[in-house]
Amino acid sequence: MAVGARLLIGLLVDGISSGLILAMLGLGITLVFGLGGVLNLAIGIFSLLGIVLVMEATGLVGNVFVGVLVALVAVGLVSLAVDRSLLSLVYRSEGQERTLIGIFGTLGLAFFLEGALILRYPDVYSIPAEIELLRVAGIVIRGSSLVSIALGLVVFGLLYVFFDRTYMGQATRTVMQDEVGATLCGIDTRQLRTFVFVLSAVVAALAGMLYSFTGEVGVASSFQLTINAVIVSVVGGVTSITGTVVAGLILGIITTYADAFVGAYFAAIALFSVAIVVLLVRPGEIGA
Amino acid sequence: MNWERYKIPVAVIVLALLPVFFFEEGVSYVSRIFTIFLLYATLALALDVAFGQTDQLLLFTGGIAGIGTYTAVEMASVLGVSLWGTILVGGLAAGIVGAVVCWVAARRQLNVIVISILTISLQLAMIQTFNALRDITGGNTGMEVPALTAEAITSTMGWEPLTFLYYLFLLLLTALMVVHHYLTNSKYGLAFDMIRQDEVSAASTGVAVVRYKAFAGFVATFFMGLVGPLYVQIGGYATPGMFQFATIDVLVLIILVVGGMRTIYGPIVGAALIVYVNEALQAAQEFRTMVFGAMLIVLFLYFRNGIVRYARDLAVDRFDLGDRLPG
Amino acid sequence: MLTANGVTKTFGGLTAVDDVTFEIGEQEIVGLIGPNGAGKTTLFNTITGVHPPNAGSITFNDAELTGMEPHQIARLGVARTFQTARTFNESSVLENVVVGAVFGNESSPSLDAAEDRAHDCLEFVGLDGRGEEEAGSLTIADRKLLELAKGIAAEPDLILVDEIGAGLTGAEIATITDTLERARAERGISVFWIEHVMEAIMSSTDRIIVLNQGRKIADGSPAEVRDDPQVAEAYLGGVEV
Repeated sequence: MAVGARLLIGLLVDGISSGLILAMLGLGITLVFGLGGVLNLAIGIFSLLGIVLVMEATGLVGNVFVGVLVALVAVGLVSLAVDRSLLSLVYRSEGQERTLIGIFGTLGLAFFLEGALILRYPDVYSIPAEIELLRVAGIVIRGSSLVSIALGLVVFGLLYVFFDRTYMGQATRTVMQDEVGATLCGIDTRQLRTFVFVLSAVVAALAGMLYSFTGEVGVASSFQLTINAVIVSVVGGVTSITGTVVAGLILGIITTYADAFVGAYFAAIALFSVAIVVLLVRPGEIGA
Repeated sequence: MNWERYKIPVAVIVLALLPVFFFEEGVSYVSRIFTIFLLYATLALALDVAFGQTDQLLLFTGGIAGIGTYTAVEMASVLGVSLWGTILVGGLAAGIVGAVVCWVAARRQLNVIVISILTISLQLAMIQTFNALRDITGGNTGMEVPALTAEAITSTMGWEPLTFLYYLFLLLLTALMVVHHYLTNSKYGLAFDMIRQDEVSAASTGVAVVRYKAFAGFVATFFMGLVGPLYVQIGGYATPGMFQFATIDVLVLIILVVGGMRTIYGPIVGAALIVYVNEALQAAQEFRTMVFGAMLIVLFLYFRNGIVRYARDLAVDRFDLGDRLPG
Repeated sequence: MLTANGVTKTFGGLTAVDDVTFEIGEQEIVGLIGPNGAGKTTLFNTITGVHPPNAGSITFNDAELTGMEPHQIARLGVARTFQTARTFNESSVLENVVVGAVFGNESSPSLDAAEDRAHDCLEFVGLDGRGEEEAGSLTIADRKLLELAKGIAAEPDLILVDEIGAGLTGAEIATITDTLERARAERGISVFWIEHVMEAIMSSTDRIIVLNQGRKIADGSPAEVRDDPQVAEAYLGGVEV
């Protein structure tokens, strides 16, 4: 196989891994916005929370798997608290007011938590997966990417089952399509919103952990993660779950290639440009 | 007594006297804070024309200021003239970008969320572009900026460079206040107000919504573009990082909301308060982000109308002053 | 003055307005009735440029309206009110009307001249003396009058009135009807009026156009329309009365 092709495939693997992570983040934005009209700009912080909590928990317990579980539960609890406090206040308003308060409230929360976290965790971190580089038919594949993909697929598999087979999941999809109709069917939207918010935070935390497998992440990059999440959600059409996942994968692959061939700056510019173009051409549900 | 006519002159006189009372020779620290205060007041008042008046939540103030800066500096270098000659060009470049964005957004009837995500994406793309164009901007490491000086004035008045810069900023702020006041009290202001309240009804009444929104966007970003080259005079150099969302936009938003939208004093009062808080936090630097984050939450949940309007309502209730207060 | 020819408007698979042709002349009050979902408001929207028609043409004083922006159409002399009385509730009563005077037609009066005209229009609808009140604090009936005043201040040739009787008492409806009639008689403004309150429509219109499922099924005097079996069928679904 030619050198070029080998490189491309190696990058593809990285791209898919990055894409699954982006899809997880984007999904968090899509779900919370679709159910409650709130653009959760604090989602990146939940990712970071996941990372630092995993480190702390693993340090305490000694076992990575238990550490991950503990961290996820902790993130779930924090997000529950946020839902009960901040979001309850946000949901009290309607329409444009709720939109604005939602944006700035979660932005303020993001800054607040970022400021708090950076006090204790000023560095960049990565979870040492200690996975070797693999060589398959002469292609160099990063083991960490493969692990991410594997775990990511598991997560999405579970999410798929959730959305397709469980009451909560189906209720979520129903509310996203037609809130009034759903309420008439007896679905408690407030409870559902809480559940979905916590779910999105936990998935974001997972995404953060996977992210730190493949690279170094610092608290300061939480806003970048949030922006990426929003862009993925926007490109995916904001209220479409499958759309978000597909958008995440595509954007992950595009940015990985762009990063490798054109450089970090232009890759980022490309990402933002895609978002801008999509917003202008097809604002979709978010523009309603 | 009709206060309305006097509110700008009063503000200008008070602001002009501040250096006389507070600036000390050789203590650039104080001068710098006051200058930064004027800088943010100007940016906030400019944002008001877009966000406060016509509901266009533009989240790219930093990037726009950057466009003004780099355009002005680059033109000065290319044409071989002093920066004085190209500041307006920088403003124009920034204004055109703002006008185009607002025009497209109005035409496509994009709502608040879409405009905010759109402009934040533009902001980020701008910063990355500044970083990428190292030949023009010096990239990450930055570049030196030609100084804006006026020997004749500074030597006659015996001013330090920062004092001169302060008065230059005051000049810009005054110009913006005059423009803001004129707009508010003209047909433009009427159109803006109705567009903000109900675009559909405004259009059916004959208001050319798209054109007015684009115009508001132009005015706002034009002045933001003018602020840029002045902003970088403080340090004498410019880096893309100076125009970031977290550095500029967040503060400007807080200031505008704290002070009060759709008022002339609002951005000034807000800037005074926030810059003061910022300085007070110097000792506890680490808590700065947390404090501003908490402020954003509390502000938008409970004090969306801002200080100036709150004070005005209070005064009207207590002292029965009716409509005669400025703001 | 206003001529609509074969106007059709579809939304996806649904034809809201189907090949509608009619005319409105000078100083005429024409009613527009029909069962819910007949396409009445959509027809208004095609005239005012909110939903440009897919087919057909609409001319107003020899100008082709289709393809124009809503504000351009307004400036040509077509004013409109909305079902929900879309007044600018944060502004004063006077300011609401001033907007109409300033932006509503091709001339560009000074703010002072516009204010004079606004006062005059407020008097015309019976809201004089209330200019400084906040529009949002008015009763629904007064807000509807305010919206009318805003429209009249633009000195239009035609006002499109959309279900102005909804939610009003009999006395309030009488006031509104009277105002519309005076608008025609004293200001020479034609009125195209969607309404569900039958007494008002039957008694004050010169002509009534009836829409059903997007199609025009009748166009004549109130008496003719009242006796038209097709109209009865549309409303009652063929039930024997």
